[in-house]
Amino acid sequence: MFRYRISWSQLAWLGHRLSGIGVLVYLFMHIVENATLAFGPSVYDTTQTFFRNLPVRLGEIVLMAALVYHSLNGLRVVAMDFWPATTRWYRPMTYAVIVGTIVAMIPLGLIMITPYAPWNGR
Amino acid sequence: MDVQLRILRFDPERDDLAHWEEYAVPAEPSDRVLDLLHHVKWYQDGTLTFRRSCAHGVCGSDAMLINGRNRLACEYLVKDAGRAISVEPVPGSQVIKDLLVDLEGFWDKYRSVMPYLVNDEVPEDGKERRQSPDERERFDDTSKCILCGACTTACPSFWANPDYVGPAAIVNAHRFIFDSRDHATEERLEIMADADGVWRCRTIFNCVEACPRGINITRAIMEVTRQIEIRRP
Repeated sequence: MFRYRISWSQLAWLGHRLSGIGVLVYLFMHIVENATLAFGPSVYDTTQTFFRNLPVRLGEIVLMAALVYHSLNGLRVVAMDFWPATTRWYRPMTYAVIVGTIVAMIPLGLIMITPYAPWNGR
Repeated sequence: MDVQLRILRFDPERDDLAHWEEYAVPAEPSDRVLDLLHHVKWYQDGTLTFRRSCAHGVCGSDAMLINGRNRLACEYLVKDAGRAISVEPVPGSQVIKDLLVDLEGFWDKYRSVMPYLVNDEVPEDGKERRQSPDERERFDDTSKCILCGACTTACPSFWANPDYVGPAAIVNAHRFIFDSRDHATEERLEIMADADGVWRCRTIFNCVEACPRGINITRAIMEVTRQIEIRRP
């Protein structure tokens, strides 16, 4: 077995795959969660209560990060598909996707964690 | 100074598995990794096996996995590689012995893209097929390929699926697809549109980073992909 030196573009591809699989798994969970409505309001309410706590919210923040990254990196891949000349900037484009995800997640993470934050009386 | 050279050795007549062997090799910073391999073969262990021909970055026969990345041993200098250097055969290939790998599959894929000019018409002046500088420029980048295989064997899609035609074959298809004198564009695009053709590219850019000629291989692959999409009815 060989070990090839990891580059940012390899990590970008790996991150795209993992975030894609993660979002897909969440989608199935989301469908199951919503489908509990078919068993009546009380079952649905119980399920909703089960999903409203800090560990699940932290998971949702990771999910949001996966969505933001997958979207931005997807745009990068689409750009290279439609305009092959953009491949010459593949390194700065990869860095931009990573920085963009981090920058977007600062306000998004804050907004999402606020209902559970100590400064909010929790 | 001495360089610690680690080489992944494999002799099918003696070994079940490949193993690392270390050599202390005297070297100057301006020496190439190929010089170190020569020193081992000529003065320390004559059984070391590897390919090399021109030794000047033109023939492309000494592509190897050096310090974790595919490179030409004849182009990579000790001052860039450091004093501890590891050398392995290119990844994803059947090792014949030591650093020598079986490239038959690589050549089969290269041949499959018809890497030659197809034009049975007689030139207008009866002598030569003229081309404007702009028409020549269209495939200039891909005409630089020396078929070393560093790109194809660095490609994770190729590691996962050895049937993938691979970056090197696509680069050579691109060289003729965009040649205004060539008449077999449709046939080549059909080969490229195969399930094991250009669609296997995941834009990971290992090929671009491995290419000793600096060819923007992913751009070439994307340009071929666009041609297939544009021409699709």
